[in-house]
Amino acid sequence: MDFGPHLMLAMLEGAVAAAILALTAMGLSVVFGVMRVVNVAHGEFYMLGAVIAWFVATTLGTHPALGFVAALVIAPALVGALAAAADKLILQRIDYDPERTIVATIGLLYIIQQGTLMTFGPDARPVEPPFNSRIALPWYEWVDGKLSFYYPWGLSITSYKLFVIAAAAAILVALWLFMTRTRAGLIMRATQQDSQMAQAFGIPVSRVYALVFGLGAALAAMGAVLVVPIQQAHYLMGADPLLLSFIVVIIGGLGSLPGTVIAAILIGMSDGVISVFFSPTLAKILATLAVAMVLVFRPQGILGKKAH
Amino acid sequence: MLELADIHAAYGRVNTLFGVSLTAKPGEITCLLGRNGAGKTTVMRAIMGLLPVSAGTITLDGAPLHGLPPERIAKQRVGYIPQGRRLFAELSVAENIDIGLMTCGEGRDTRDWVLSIFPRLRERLSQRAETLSGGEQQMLATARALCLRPRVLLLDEPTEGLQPSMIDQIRQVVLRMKSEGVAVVLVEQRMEAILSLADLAVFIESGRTIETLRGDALRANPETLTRHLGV
Repeated sequence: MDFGPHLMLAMLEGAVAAAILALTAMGLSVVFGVMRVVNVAHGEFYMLGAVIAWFVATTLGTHPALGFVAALVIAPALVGALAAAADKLILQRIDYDPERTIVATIGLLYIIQQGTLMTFGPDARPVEPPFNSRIALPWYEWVDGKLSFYYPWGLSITSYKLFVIAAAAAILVALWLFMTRTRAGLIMRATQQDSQMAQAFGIPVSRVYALVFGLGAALAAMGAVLVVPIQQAHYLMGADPLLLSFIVVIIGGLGSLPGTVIAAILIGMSDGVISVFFSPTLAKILATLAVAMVLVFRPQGILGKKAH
Repeated sequence: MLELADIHAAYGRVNTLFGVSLTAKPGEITCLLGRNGAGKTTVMRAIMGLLPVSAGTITLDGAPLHGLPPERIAKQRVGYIPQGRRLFAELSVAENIDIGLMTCGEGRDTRDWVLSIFPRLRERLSQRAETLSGGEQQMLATARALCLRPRVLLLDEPTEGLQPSMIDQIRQVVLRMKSEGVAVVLVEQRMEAILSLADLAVFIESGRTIETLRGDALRANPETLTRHLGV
């Protein structure tokens, strides 16, 4: 395949990675932005979303689309509820102390991971996509001074991958509308700005925190449900999304939702392109290097605010 | 009526209040006075539940406030204008007002009432709070607290750093709240404001109430202010 079509293919793969990453990182960013909690267990909520998606799809066992739609509703709801319970039972009791929340969420990471290993097992298990037709993509060439299109061999994408990009974009738009247009979103933003003043104006901050922790985990689970027909569910699948989410959140600016989306597109696309042309490991190395550069030259990230 | 009886409070393990008592009656302005670091802001934070009270009682019309979380204290219609305003800086003026309205479930009538007191805010509704001038920010902080239709209004140095015209406007609001039967607790440093507004003056020093005077007695002996405040 020529370089042009090859690059287009890599960019499409990158766009799929960016879409999933944007959802996952957004969950981490919302939690940090509102609660100032560094949630090390975020990747495990992602993994749990994928495992529950497999369980729901397998249990229903009817048409793949029905199982997938059910998983898209049930997995984020269950993971969100589990995260909200973890907030009430663990984080609230340690008063959201920054050091102790890191240790507590590491503990949560191992509990979820090993609990999944004991119940789900060590195997990777696939979930059938609801639809998966292959769409051939055209490329252009100049023949005798005229533009003509043809279909290069191998330049194609599945309809499901296009759906993943569209679904992630729709969920992010819905999240933005929720944060900016609803009463609950206003309460979350006020809590993010000044939690003490929020309390002094009647906002039950502990309930807001439980809701936000649940929402963050549910976003990660949504990303996982979307990805599991492409990647398979596995009890160790949370590590990469956690690393990449941290990279995205730091580059975008801690707690900045628009910054998170921009950084997810940059990192996801570069991950896709570099993985196709070189190797996935090189993509991770360069992303980590980018974080180091951001921390040195612009510690507040692309759209984050400088600490006063 | 808001009553503080011998309250003690601490920031972590550091004790800061060692026995503060005061009474704020409806339709009266109680001035909380003391030198810098005496504990005035700490008393305000303790009333709002932002600082746990380790001993003593805080009651509103006989019902205990101490031990309640801040959000439940606010819902008793205790409005708080903190030192430094502490607006939700990245939210718009309208959103800051909405947060105030949500506290006690107030609606459009209260919004219109508050905006009639501060008409300039009506012109700035879509503007982010952090982009307002200092005086406008103080208006917004006051408007946000008035959105509770407060029974008690706590004002912590509301005129700090403001120009005279703005100080006068805040003063008019305080007098209006007094005339509407609100119990006002005011922390203020300017002597002329204290002398003209106080119905009751409570002096605190090193976290303790050291003297309480009626406003008339204070105006008859203004040197009391000089003695306690060193101004």
